[in-house]
Amino acid sequence: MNSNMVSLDDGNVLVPDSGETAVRVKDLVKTFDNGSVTALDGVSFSVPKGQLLVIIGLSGSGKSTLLRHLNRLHIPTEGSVEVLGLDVPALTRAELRILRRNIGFVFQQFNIVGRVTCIENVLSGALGRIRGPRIGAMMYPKWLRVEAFEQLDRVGLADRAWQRTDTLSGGQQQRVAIARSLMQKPKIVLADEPVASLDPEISGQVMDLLVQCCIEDEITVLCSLHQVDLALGWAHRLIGLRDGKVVLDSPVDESLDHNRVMDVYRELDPTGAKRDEYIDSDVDPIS
Amino acid sequence: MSALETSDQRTQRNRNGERSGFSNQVSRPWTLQRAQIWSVVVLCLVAFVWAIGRVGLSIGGIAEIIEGWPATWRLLGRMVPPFIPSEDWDVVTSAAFDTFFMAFAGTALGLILGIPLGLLSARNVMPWAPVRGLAKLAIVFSRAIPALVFAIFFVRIYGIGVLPGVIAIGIHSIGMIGKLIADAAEDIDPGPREGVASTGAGPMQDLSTGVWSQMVPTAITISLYRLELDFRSAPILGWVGAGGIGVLLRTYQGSLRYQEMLGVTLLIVVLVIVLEALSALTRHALLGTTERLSGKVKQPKSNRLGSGLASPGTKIADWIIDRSRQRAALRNQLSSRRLTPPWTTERVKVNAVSLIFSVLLVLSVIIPDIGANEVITDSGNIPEMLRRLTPNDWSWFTERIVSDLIDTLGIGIAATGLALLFAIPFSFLAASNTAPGRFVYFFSRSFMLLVRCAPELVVAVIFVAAIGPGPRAGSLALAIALFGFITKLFADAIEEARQGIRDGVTSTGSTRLQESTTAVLPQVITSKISNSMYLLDVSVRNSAVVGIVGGGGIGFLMINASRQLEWETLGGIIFCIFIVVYAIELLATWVRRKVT
Repeated sequence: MNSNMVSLDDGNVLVPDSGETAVRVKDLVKTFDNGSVTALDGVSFSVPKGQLLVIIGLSGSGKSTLLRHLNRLHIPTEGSVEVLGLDVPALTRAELRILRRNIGFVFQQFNIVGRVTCIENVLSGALGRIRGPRIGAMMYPKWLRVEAFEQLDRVGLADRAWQRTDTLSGGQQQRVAIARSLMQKPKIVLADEPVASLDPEISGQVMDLLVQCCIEDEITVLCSLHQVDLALGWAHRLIGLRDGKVVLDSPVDESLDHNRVMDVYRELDPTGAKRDEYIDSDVDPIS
Repeated sequence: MSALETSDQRTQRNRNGERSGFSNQVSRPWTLQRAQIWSVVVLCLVAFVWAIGRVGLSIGGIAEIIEGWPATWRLLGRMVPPFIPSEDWDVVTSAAFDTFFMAFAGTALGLILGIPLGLLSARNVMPWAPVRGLAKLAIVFSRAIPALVFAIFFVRIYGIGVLPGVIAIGIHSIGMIGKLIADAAEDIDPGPREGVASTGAGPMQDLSTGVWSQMVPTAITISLYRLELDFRSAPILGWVGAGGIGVLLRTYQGSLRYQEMLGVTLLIVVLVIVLEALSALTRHALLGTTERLSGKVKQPKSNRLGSGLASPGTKIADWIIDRSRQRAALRNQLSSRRLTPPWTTERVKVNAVSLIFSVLLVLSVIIPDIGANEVITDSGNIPEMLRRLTPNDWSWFTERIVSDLIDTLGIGIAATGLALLFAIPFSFLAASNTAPGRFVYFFSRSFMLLVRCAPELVVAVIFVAAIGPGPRAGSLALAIALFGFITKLFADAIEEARQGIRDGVTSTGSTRLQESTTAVLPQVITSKISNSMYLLDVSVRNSAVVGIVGGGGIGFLMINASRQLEWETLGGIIFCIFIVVYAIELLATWVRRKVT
């Protein structure tokens, strides 16, 4: 049992308490296919509560894998993952559910059920707070439905509540997914390229909405993102990943200019401390 | 080879068979897969020729039919005009209602048992392999044994009446429902499940919100499809004493009242047509309103803030104050905002259909006098009956059983082959995009619907009466029923063929027939082979029971054993049928996997 699981929330729900640190990852290694593919290679960092952290990097650099370790959609091969003071790989199933209800996850592909109403998708965010299976929005208690309406209103979709979710545009569907995450009353929101499948204009709107809601609710945010400008606009801190390693970890201030960030996407090491392994080694980077 | 050769010269040279650089490459190389496919094709043809001979439909057999035509004609003459005597109308109507409710309650039972079993056998729902294996075993068993065989068994337990029919239909329906539900569950998008899991949902919540909510349309389609199949199989169950209109069919046939027999048959066909139409309407009401409403989507309010490098702090603070004001206003508003779904047309439809089905379900328990007492009092006999059915030795296993089993296989294969022979060309006439004219299309479709709605065993009854009992009548009857069934599947597949590819072929200046063979056939061939294998599967299962109405094969021995209370023989035969049907199913599945 984790000793950190102490305080009781209003709805008789156990909430983990972790002091000032929301996430602490140490020497995290993840390999797939019996070690033939290394997705994460000794990643370490920690995130204080309330921080807005953006993780950037090329596709395949390990951003999603990293985020998915934080609510145990993946289990680490080596190293430790501590979220809200809980040792994530060691949690029992019941404890894991408690952790997950405190972590909102926003997916690139929305991962909402397209053929049910928006309100039902938002309500499913409250499943961790209630017992038993639910089929249809009317099976949720009324006070939760009121709450779901409020969350839908925050993302500007209260008038769509009873509409089928797949009749909405991509940006609206992602806003429903955000409302679902907020419905969990999370301490942390993990967003895995939340705007990668949206056009630039809508991307900006959805991103701003997500950040504003999280600031209002004092939620810690870890977000992977491709749009460097979008990230520099509101992030407190930037982490760059390449080939499963942290190659940049810097607060967003005057010292961090656009070019230095863009280097994460290039072959050069943005910290300048060591030269890129591709250039040093004999391996031809094209093949 | 000269570089200045014209294309005409080149053609001429190739036609003359003179050597060119490609001479040894123009035949398709043999691969293992190609060899496998061709051996299966050859095997199928050999099996078909053998089966035709076995059931007596070779050239000599057909000559016999033609020779005996005058007698057949006289018999057919005794069937027309079909009529039902007015004093029998009461009995016929109540039997028709019994049949309807029997099928309805049976399907409901099949759904109640089949959906959980299907979910338990899905890899992504039930992680525990032994449970999955058990569920799969139950599903395979229930699919391989025809409803009529279950009916024989349950009539022995509960006595003559509607109840054994309901249970037989229910138990046999489990198989198909379970298999399709398992397939549907394994096909769902894992994304939304991940979404639900990361809200901290438990396993049952994951099942309802993550899995089931995605499966609802498939489940509705499966249920209605099964209901249609059960409407078609229910009318014959009375033949072995399971209640409904089949009892009358048996009585009329037994007393050689052929006009009444044809009358009841036509009544059954009409009933099935009506029910199929109702089922189609229901499906449309429940699933037809899924078109996307895009285009009506309003532009979201622009909340764009904080783009660029400037600190967004002040703007956000403004925004928060603004939003909290708005939310206070909303809280007042919410008391009047509806927290129940609005009564859209869609919701009215769904509720109406649910209401009708619930009422029908209640009626189907009340009206046919199912006898709930018997369920309680007689179910205790099931273990005893199963014990009796288990053979102690091999004394029941006679040469007659082997030869009848081979007959059964022959009937199944011959019927499948005959059905395919006619269905392949006919399906092009019955597809809207390849039919030579609207009239031909309309005529073909109507003809097909009529054929499809005649249950195979009912057709077999007519054929046995017309050309005498034996495998010949059984395979012809089965072939006709299967023809209706497979032509529809083929025609639907053709209608889904892509127009663009056809245009590509047409623009090379091809004829209509060339276009069908070059552009359409390759697109639909895999689905055709796959469907044909499914057809063989269905056919062998049904050929095991046509013997019950005199259509040859193992069914005759089975019903005899049941009448003479030779339990071990009956059990042995059921086991044999299971083995044969299951072997064919495995073979069919293997071939389907090879071609797709």
